[in-house]
Amino acid sequence: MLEIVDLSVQFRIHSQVINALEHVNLKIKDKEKIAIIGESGSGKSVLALAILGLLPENAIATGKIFLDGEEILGKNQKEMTKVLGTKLSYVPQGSGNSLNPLLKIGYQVSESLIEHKKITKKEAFKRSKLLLKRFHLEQEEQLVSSYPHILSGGMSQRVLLALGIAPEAQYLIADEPTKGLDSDCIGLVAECFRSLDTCTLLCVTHDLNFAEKIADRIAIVYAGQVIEYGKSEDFFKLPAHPYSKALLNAVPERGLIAIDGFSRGHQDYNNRCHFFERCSVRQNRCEQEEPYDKLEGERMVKCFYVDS
Amino acid sequence: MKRLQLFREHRYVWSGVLLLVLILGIAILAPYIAPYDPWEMGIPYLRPNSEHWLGTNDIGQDIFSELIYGTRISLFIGLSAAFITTVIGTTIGIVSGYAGGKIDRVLMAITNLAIVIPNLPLTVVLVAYLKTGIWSIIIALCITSWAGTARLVRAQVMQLKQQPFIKLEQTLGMHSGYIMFIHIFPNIGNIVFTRATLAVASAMLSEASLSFLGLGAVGQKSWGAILNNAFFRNGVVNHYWWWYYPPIICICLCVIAFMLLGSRDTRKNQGQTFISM
Repeated sequence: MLEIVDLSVQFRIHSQVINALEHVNLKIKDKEKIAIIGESGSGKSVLALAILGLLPENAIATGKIFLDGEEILGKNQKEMTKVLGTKLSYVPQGSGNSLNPLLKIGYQVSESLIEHKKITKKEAFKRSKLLLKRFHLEQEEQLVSSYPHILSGGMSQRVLLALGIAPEAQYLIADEPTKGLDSDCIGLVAECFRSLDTCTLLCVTHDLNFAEKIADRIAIVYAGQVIEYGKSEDFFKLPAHPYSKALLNAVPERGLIAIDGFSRGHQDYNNRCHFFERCSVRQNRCEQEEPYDKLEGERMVKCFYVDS
Repeated sequence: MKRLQLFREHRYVWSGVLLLVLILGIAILAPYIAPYDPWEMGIPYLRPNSEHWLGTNDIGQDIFSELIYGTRISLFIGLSAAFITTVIGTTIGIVSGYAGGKIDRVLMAITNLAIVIPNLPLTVVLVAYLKTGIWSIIIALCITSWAGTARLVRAQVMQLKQQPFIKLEQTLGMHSGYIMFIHIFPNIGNIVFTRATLAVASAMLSEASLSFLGLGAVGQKSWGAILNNAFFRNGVVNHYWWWYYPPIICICLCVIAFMLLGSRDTRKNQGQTFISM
C-alpha cells in the first residue's frame, strides 16, 4: 500500500517560499490504478518526484510517505537505490534529454534488468526488444542498436514507457506518459497499463479520456491541494467539486467550455478556498476559511457546498 | 570524396595528428635515426657541417642526435604528467560535482588551495627536495596542475546532473558509481580530451623550464637540458644559434601539435555529443 500522509512541499527560491503541495493525503491500495489530474503547475509532478525522492535541493518536504509501511520520504539517495528499480519505478515526462544521447537505446532499456534482475546482457536485450515491440516500435532490431537522436518525440516517449515498465516493479509512477503520443498510441498505453495486474499505478496526466480508461480512482489537484479524490466511475458520472465539474465540461466532447479566470498558482491564499475566484457557487464563507476534507461515502471533496 | 571532405572539415586536427605521428616516430625510432650516440664525445664547438648537421656542443656531443633522443624524454614527461593530471582532475571533478554537499565543499577547498599556490615555484622547490629523476619531475608537475581540470569538469557535471536522463537513472536505482562512469563521463569526454591535450603542452613547457633552470633529470637528454647547456656553457653568449634555436623550435612544434589536436570543433558533431565546447 502506498500511503501519503499530510505531505507538503515548499520550494525556496531566493528568499521566497512557494507552496507547491499542501497537506496532501492519499491512500492507494495494492493493485489500484490512480490518475492524478490537474492543470499545468498544479503540483502533480512534484507529488511524483516526492514519492521517488527526487525533489530538487531547494525543496522542503514535510509529512510522511509510506511504501508498504516503510517510510520513504527523507531517505537519502543511497537508501532509495534499494527501493527504486525493484519495488518502485518511474516513467518520466519525455523531453529532449530523457535518454542519454551517447548510449544505445537497447542498452538503456536493459540497464535496470541487468542491474536488478541479475540476468545476462543477451537475455536483457531480448526482453527489451519484446518491450519495445509491445509499444509498437517496429524494427526493434535496428532500434536497440541506434542512438536516441533518431527517435521522434512520440517514439522516445514510448521507449521511456518500455524503460519504466522493464523492472516489473510493484509500484509504478508515471508522469504524463501520453505526452506527444497520437490517440492510437494512447490507447495502446492505456491497454498496457490496464494489463499490469499486479502493479499499483500512480499516473500523472491531464488527459481526462486516458484517465477514464486506466484509473480506478481519480485525484484532482488544484493549486497544490487534492480537492477531490474518489472512484473513477463516480467522478465521471457526477463530479462533486465545482472545479471538477468545470474541468469535465472543458473536454471537447462536453462542449469545450473554458473555466473563467486562471489559476493563481502557488501564492499565499490566506486560509481561503484556492478556487474561490473562479468558482461558480462561491459564498462568503469560502473567502473566510479554507474548506476541510469532506467525506461523502468513499469520496473526499474539499468544498463546503457539495450538492450530493 | 567523403573522406576528403572529412579531412578538410577537421584539417587542423589532422595536421596535429600528422605532426604528432612524426614526433612519436622520431621518439620511438631514435636509435635508428640518430646519426651518433648523443653521449659520445668528440671535437667540441663544431659549426654545422655535413658530418654534424647541427654541430657539436662543449664536450663534442652531436647536437642533432641529442635533439632526437631529447624527443623521448620531453614527450614521455609531457604525456605521463598530462595523463596523471587528467585522471586526478576528472575524478575529483566528477565526484565533487555529482555528490555535492559536504564532499563537494571539501574537495573544492582542496582544489582552490591547489589553484592559489604558485605553480612554478612550488615545482622548483619540490624538484629540489625530491630524489632526482624523471618521476620526481612528473610528480612535481602534477601536484597542482589537476585543479583547473577539476573545476571545469565539476561545473559541467553539475549541469549534467540536472538532465532528465541522469534523474531517470536515479529512479532506476542505479548506483552512483555506475551513473558517474557510464552516463556522466562519456558526456564530458570532449572537454576532458581537450583539457588533456592542453595539459600535455603545458607539462612539456614546464619540463623545459625546469630543465633550463638546471632542475631536470640529471644526465638525461631533454630539450630543456640542451637549452640549459647552451646557456650556461657559453653557447648563447657566442651566438652559436645552431645550439639554442633547434630545441626551442622542437618544443614549439610539439606544443603546437598538441594544441591542434585539441582544437577540434565539437559543434560539428552535436548530434552525437551532448556538451559542445
